[in-house]
Amino acid sequence: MTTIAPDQAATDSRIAVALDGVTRTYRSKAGDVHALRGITHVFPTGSFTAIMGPSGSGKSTLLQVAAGLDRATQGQVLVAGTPLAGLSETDLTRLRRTSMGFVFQAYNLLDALTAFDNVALPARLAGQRVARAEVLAALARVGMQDLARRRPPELSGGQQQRVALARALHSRPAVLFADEPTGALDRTSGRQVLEVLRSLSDQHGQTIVMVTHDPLAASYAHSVLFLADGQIVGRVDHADAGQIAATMNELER
Amino acid sequence: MILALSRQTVRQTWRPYAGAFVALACGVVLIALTVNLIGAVEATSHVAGVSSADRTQLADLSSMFGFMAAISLFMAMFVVASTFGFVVATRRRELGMLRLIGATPRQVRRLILGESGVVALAATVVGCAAATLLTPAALWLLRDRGVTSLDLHAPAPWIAWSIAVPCGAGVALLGSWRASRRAAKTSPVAALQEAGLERRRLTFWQSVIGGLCVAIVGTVLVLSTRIEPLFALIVSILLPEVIVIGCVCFGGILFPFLASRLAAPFARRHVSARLARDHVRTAVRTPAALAAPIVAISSIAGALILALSFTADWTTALDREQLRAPLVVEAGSRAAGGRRGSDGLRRGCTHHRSRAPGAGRRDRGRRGGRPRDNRRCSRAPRGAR
Repeated sequence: MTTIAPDQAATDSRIAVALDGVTRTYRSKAGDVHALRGITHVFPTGSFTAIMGPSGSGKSTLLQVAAGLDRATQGQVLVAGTPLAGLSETDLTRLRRTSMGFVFQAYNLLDALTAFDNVALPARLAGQRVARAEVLAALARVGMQDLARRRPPELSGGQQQRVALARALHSRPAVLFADEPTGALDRTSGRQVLEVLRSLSDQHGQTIVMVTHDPLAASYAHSVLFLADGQIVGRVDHADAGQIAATMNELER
Repeated sequence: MILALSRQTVRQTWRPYAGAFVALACGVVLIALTVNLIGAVEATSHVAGVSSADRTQLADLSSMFGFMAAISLFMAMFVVASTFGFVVATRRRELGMLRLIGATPRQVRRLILGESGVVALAATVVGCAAATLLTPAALWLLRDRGVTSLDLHAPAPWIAWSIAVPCGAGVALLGSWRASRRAAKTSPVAALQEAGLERRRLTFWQSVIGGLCVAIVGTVLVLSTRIEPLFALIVSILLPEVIVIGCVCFGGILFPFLASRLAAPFARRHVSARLARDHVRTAVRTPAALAAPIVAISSIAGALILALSFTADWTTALDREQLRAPLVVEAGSRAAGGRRGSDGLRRGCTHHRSRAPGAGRRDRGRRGGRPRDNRRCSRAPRGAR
């Protein structure tokens, strides 16, 4: 396993997220549970990476540790050159505002706010002036500019996910973390969301880290990391859904 | 920005806040009415020709309204606290999402306090307006029902507003304080979790305050046979508040336990009852938040009714004791001109009399003070004495 020099990761703008020997252990009555066992990986700027693996392989834990939502037991995590270890809760919140975007399976938006206000919310929380044109441009990039005044209950699941993507893009984060973003969508809506994600990466250089269990969703990514027992056990680049499914089957055997 | 979000949240999802709004508005109405009545009493008592008995009566009236207002504000605080406890418990995922996209714990806290501020603002505006409209009616009612014979005039409304508005805002702030602290502790990971199992762990302060309440109640029970009647009356009014605070402190454990035990007979018969029982047992905060105001209202109202009924019995007994007369002489009766007995009294005009309950109060309420029967006796012919 290679080790990343912290100085290199901190200064290299080509690195969006760097994980260096990251472990995460949970203590329980039944004994210690090792969710991550020494993960070292670099997510380059502009890359679209899917993380796959069987249930309990540590996919979600990896995403949470990389985003600073959970603390690594050992090892180091750098996001946009900033080491997460030692940051206070408020500092982590500020880093999330400026450098990270999030999209989940569902319930990404505040029902009380319109699509426009949901997109503008992170900037407003950060005390920044919100340029109306920029918010509308972010909505336009995901094809939602005409529904800016609607509230989430008036939008379909796929439309809500696209608004969540627009919100993530408006703050121009160093990395966009997506946890099963198509998990609650039908096939057509899911494909639209994945196409938006891919175009954001290809055309706008957006770094995306996506956890999924769906080989079809993973096929939209540039590369796929396979996790098992808290370790990276494989990787494929520019693979189609069939190849990804075959690799998953081999791992689960 | 956060206040705008609070306002939009309350406006879009107003239903959970309706209970807090009604409780606060009622509290504000009572406070403003009390201030108006006290102001009217104060202004009237300085008018020439008002007797000291009238002043005492008016002061008692103000005290009663003040007491009612204090109880209603106490209740309003419970309802606000339970409403916001409920709101925070049910919005865990949403608050986690806010934290995730960049809200600091302080901003989340301000959001919840802002929501209570919005509810308080609406409740105080409605409450003050209602109190201003109700004051002339209340003053008329007092005179119409014979509570006072004086002509009371309402003071300027802004005096009541200037006291009721801070009271309403303060109660809303205190009520939502704990919920806002809990909301600020919401982890960003809550946004990613489908459901979180709530832990039934008492906080340090819950244990301390709850333990103190249990100790106070225990001490009062032990000493109950030795305390003075007047002190017992005060204790009977204040003790339910202590019990309620204790129940709320241990509510996270107590209410789900009691609710699951009560639901047990039904849970065996119907699947819906079983689901409800299991939900109550696992989602700790919801039953605790729902039960707190109900326990507070029922215990305080029950204790007040009991205390008032004891007081009424006590007063009646005292009146009887004071007004019991071995002999009552009535003038003008046919028997008054009867024969003179060996003890010097005319037998025909005297009879032993045991007074009916309440007679003393009726007589005492008349202006002039002396009971009717005594006056009659004083008018009796000299020879009858």
